[in-house]
Amino acid sequence: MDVSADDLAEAFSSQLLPPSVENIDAEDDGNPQLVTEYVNDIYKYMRALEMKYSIRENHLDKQTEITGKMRSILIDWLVQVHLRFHLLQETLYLTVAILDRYLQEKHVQRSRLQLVGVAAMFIAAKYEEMFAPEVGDFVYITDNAYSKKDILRMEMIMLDTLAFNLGRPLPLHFLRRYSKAGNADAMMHTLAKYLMELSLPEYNMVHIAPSKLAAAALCLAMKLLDEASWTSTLVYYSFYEEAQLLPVMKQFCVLIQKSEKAKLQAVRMKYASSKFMKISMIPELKLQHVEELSKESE
Amino acid sequence: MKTIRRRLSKAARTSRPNSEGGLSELAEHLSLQENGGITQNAGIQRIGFLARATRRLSLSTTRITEVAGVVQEHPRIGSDGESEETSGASDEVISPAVRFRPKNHRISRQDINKRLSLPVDLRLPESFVAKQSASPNIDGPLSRTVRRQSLSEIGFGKTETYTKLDKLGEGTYATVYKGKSRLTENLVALKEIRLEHEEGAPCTAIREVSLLKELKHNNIVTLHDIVHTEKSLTLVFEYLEKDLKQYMDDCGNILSMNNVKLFLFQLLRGLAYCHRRRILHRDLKPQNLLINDRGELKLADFGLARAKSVPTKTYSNEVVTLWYRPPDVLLGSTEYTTSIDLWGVGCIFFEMASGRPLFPGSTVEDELHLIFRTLGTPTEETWPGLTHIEEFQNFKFPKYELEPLVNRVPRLDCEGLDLLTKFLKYNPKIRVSAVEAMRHSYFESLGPGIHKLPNTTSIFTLPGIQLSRDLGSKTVPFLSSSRNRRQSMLL
Repeated sequence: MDVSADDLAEAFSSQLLPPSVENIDAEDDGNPQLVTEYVNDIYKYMRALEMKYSIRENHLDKQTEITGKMRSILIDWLVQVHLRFHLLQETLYLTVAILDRYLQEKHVQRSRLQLVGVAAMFIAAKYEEMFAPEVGDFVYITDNAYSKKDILRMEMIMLDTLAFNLGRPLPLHFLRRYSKAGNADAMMHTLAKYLMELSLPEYNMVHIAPSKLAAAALCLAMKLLDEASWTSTLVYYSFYEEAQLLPVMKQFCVLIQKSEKAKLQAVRMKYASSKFMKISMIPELKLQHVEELSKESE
Repeated sequence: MKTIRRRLSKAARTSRPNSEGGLSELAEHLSLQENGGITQNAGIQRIGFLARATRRLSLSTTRITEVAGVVQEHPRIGSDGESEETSGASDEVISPAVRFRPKNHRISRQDINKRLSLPVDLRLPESFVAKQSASPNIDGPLSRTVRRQSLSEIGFGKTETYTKLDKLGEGTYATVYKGKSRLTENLVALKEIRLEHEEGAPCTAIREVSLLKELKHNNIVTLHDIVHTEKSLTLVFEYLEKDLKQYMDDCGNILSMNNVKLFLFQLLRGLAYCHRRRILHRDLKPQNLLINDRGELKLADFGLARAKSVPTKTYSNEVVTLWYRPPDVLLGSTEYTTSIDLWGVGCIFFEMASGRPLFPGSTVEDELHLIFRTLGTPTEETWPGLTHIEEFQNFKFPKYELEPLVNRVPRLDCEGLDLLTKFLKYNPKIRVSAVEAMRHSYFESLGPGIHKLPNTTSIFTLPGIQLSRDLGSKTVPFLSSSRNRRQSMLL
């Protein structure tokens, strides 16, 4: 299997690009930050990893005390905690990934759902951050609902349940690659990030593969801002045709439409700040296009 | 019950004093009511809203009716309130119903080993084999739940499965023991990480385990098992006799040049595999390279390793041991990528070939001094962007000329010298990568087959590839262990 993966990677080299596809790494050979030598291998590998650590549809269906709605409330709150602690974006996505993979495996009492949420963030921060918040910070942020001991104990249980496998790739990793392939500007990239984050609390979008979520978010962002199309270069580097992305794009449109009146506002408010280019407030999100697309999904 | 809960949550809401200093005034309580609506006792304002995150989520009265409609008992709830598994479908549970054992279906140990994808040298406990043979449900795919349960019954993940022998060394947060597995009778290295730590599992341990579990390669140390208890986390590694530091000590620092080449190639092979999986080691040094009696070299100690996506973000610049740390990192760069590991490879290559560390600096300034004295003080030409690095200006180094490396490694041939200089480039952008280095003419003598090996296959399976006797070795390698304790796998 390893051999065939290597063969695939070989076939991915720039000499074998189809004529309509641009080699997006051509100018980066001298830039080690972008590790052109390994980049296609890495993305190939991440696609395999996302399959390995996938989350199934209706992953809470075996839970007796927890609903998708409660999960939404928890994540809306975690978005605020994440902002408050000034953590890296990766940490938020990893937190939600750890949370969902745990909820998919283990029964959780309602009274302990918030504990699972903060323990997930505690683990994600240790994995991603240079300076992770201390356990006491998480006790504080839950208003002392749980003790340090509760959180440390839950950390252990969760690490054991996930067998320490924290390598699930995040939508953000894929988005960066696609934004490059699509020559996306800062606005498009930020809008795509907003859409991805808006989907985090959505129970019916949890099972969508991170690579697909990122591709659909960017595709929609490009359409809304620039009426730009999903080029053959994007198809090549993302492995997704526009038609495959359409159902997810529709779900995003529904989200945009209901976001204004939704009860949970953390993500929308976060992206209303100038740091995020006030992207959740742009008029493009009220266009006819969004409405049409969202209606089709019903 | 409902009312008590509600009262409790109300009480919690009102009794929380605003006395915890400046932060608690930000506290805000949110609860989801039975009708699904949200009440908040602090008004939402666009900016202030996000600052107030301290909150006890009160989900206690949510959707009582819905939940009451599906009252389910959870028969397997453990002491911590977690049930064993919810995703496992009921057909995965082995039925206790008594059945006759199928006559022509005696389950051999080999069958079980194969089914659980375990190594063949594993000795299964009698009781486990008996149970497996009696189980009516031996065919068909194995679920994750059942596999995990089986592994645990065999003894994986249990303290008593591993016997501690000698202590190999002690670090700030871990102690390493030589040990023995009762399952295979093989030697193992037990890295015991204390968890009495205030902050739970150390981030280095979390990263090391998570990353090592992804890495299956002949030139990377194998993590066999993890034993997680209340007090400690023990990583069970394959046991290798020596680290490269010890190996060099034991042969009087005169390695056969054939062995230098074989070790360097294996180091690059393991490293290229990591880099292809977006993992940086960040702490390469002879103490972290383990060597067994076949001459297989394996990268160990991923405590400082990081998984990174592309492009990378910045990390702490306090990572690589000083002697093997690249000048860009010494000068405070936190923007590094795979090139960080390749400078260290160059230093290790030199040390193997010459018997001496290349730049044994004691402080950052001393380290830079040693580097510049040998490779020449860098200029804007040899290192574009250098003049903008404030730290470099502050040190005010004298202008040294390049000293030909050949004077310091006379035993290294032309190809070897050429490759060595490619590792030791100031400009990280032109430093050779692991994959490129493996294709360098220095390795041509190893033959083309060396590039076609599957990841988990040893280079010593190829005809003609074998370890030479080291010139300086006074004893038969690996029979007498060096007096120095192994320093590897410590932090």
